[in-house]
Amino acid sequence: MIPPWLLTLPVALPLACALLALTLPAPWTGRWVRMGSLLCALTIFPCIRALLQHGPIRQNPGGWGAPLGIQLYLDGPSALFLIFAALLGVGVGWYAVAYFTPGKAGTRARQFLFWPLWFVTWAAVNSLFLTLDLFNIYVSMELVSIAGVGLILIAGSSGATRAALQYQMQTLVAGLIYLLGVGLVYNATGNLDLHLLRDYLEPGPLKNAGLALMTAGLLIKAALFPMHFWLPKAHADAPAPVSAILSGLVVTTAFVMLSKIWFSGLGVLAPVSLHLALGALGSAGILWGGILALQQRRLKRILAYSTVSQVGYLFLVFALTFQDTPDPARLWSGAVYLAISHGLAKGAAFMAAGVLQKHEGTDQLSLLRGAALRNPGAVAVLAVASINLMGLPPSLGFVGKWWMIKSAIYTGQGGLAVILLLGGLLSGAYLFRVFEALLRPKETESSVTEERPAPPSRLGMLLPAMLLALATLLPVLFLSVPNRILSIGSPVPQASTP
Amino acid sequence: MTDSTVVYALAGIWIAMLGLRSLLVNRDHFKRIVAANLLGSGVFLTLVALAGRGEGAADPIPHGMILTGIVVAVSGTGLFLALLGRLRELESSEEEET
Repeated sequence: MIPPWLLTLPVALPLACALLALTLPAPWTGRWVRMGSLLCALTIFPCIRALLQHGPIRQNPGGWGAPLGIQLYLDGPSALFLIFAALLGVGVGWYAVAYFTPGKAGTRARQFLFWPLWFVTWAAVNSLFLTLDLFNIYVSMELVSIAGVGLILIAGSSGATRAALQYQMQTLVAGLIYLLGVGLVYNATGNLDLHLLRDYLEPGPLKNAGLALMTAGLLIKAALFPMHFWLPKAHADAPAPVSAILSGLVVTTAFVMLSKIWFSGLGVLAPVSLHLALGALGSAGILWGGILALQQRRLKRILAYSTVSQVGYLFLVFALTFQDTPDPARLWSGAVYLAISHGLAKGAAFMAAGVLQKHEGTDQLSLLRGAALRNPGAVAVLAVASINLMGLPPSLGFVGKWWMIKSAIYTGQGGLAVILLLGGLLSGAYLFRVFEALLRPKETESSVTEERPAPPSRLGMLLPAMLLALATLLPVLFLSVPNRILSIGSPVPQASTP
Repeated sequence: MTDSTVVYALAGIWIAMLGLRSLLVNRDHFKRIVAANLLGSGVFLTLVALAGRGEGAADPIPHGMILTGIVVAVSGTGLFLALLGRLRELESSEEEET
């Protein structure tokens, strides 16, 4: 028997934690945040157990069912994304406790705001993963964006404020465009529920325009190629835990929403030109992000431009569905794995960069020479995360990319396969530049290192970072488990061959 | 769909396009937030027009959506203006330092 409130827990608990984090006195926050984040993550387990026993779960909070009420719906893909958010949530939370503790007196108030914003982001992201309602997606996306603006501002610099301004403007406009799309679809069908909409899939001008507008709004939110300009500045200037959330979690959610909308049925309405446009923008993002990452001199800038590039990969999946793939389930799982593994790896990489920045006092590559000797742990985390970002074999990112390349070749879209491989090559190039600097011994010992105050303990930061980095490698050993979860109630038809 | 519905909906789209155009053309933050609000008004007008179903009562669900949209747009605009003020302060204090 599943309690009727089970699916509200992943949303309600982080929200309650956010309120408590605001009210609890400062000395308690660290301990409270550790407990609270664990609690929020543990609520995922009963949900997944119920999913494995009963199949997809549909619940009506407040007793109002669709089409009037807003339903919560848990299927395999959303379960995997819940686990992903929980891993990042706990990892970043525990890391941030160690990162923020020995803060200077003046910055403490601003850092204190990190906790509520982080919990609100977590709650909003979970509600996005669990919703099927087009309008609820809008509300939750706005919550994620507003919390994101607050998180960017924690850096406090004028550069970060400028990035936050640009992000706020883009996200406001993106929300309005998305809302217009939802209104048009509702007007044409009288429905907002993604599953009920399956009965209204014959193309019509209002519906097609609605889908195009919703897609455009979500592309802007995801910072896909021409809309990415605020991203590197915001992600690189923010404190490391904030960068990890923004690059790891927030960017991924817009992609998850778009795939939910397209793959639950509405995608058949998309004209060929929309598929091609998404493919072109994704490819341009991969190459542009990669090339700019090669030119950066700061580690966090390189990682931020790498996010621009990796977001491009995710959107290629929409171009690849344009022709009939022999194995759509594989393509879809590939994209899901790529999204999850990029989020975890990028989170871990930013966390490692934060450790380096705290200990070396800089993230300039030229000044980080020999850091591998002084901070072997941080460089090891970065190395494990890089395996995944480059898409090298034992990682989940490799699995995802491999399946995407295979379907690109099978459907005769060899050009996209070339772009995917080229993107991998580029990420290899900019990441090897990083390791070339980190591993090369320093010529002269400078005296700057002794003058700085004692940096915080490394273990509290490195353990969560390593956990996240390893989480991208371990699932490959027993891939049948995530495959099985993903196939429960999957919107994509399953192939008969294993 | 009656004639007046179509006229109002097209007028809304037109206003939204005007807002979008000046968003793309202007670089000034203040002009852009006004343009974004114009875009919003156009979107809301379109949705209100489409919600009116001829003679009978209007469909309430789009109205609920628009109301939420207005709340988000107003608070978003407020946040934007607050950020703009903050940026001016930060920039003037940086100029004093240099």
